[in-house]
Amino acid sequence: MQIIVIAGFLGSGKTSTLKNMVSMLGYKDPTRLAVIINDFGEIGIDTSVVSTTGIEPVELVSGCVCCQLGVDLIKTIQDIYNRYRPSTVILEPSGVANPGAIKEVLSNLKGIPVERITNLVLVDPIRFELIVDIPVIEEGVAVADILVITKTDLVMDSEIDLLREKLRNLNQRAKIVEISNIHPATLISLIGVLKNEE
Amino acid sequence: MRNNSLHPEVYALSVTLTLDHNYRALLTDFLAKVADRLEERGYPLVGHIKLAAQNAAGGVFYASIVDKTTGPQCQGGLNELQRPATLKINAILYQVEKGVIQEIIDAELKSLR
Repeated sequence: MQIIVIAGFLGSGKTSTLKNMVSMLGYKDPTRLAVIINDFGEIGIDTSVVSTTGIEPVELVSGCVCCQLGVDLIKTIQDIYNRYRPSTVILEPSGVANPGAIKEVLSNLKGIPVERITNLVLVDPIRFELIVDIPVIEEGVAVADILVITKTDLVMDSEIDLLREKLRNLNQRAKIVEISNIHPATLISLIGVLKNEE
Repeated sequence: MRNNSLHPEVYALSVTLTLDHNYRALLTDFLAKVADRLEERGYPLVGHIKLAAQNAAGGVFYASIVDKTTGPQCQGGLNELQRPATLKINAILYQVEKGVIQEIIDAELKSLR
């Protein structure tokens, strides 16, 4: 089983990316794909959006899976594995989650043959400068396996180049991919990078 | 007073209301107005405000705002508008007190009802 974590700050485009990815993968069967969505608020909204793809996500609300709900996350993944044995689990953590802390939480998974955990961290090119001082942003970029620059339809190529440079300074190892959820075809590059990780 | 904590404040609520064919404009305006009111009181939008409207006939209308310049983004849609819809609102914002978020959202919500 592989686990894909789609992390990123509030409004970076996680839910739209997840929805488009699930649509493109075309898996409706829970033995192929399971989705877990963590909403920090008491009322989950993202689940309603993703369920329009035909996948019924498991919802974890009222807290963050990187801290308060860490134990619930482990239990949820174990339950999903015991019930369906899916080949892929996609986790969308809350936008306030620390991707580094999620990585640590997931290291507590026992008794499940996890082949690989891939950490995607989404970056909104419009607001990166405004929010980069929030500690989870820089830390999140540093632990990413794949950095995904979203909303590329809203910025100029020169701004993306500048952002790429900044991201590269924070993480030399991660692959950097650009997408626009308005144009789902741009996610083909992301799916391709994920497949190459396999 | 600005909340300088590195932790966000959360305000979430769920209400039932009947929407007409103009619901897209109404709900996206609602989000834009909340962002305006926050800014007028000195709180830039750092975080997001999301909403989802759903009724028994199926379909979900979803809108969110994360940035005032790009404005609200929306997707999806509702079927059979004569049925009451459940509107869920979820705000997660940095640098602003929860009481302020609640006051502004509740006040703007009154204009939707």
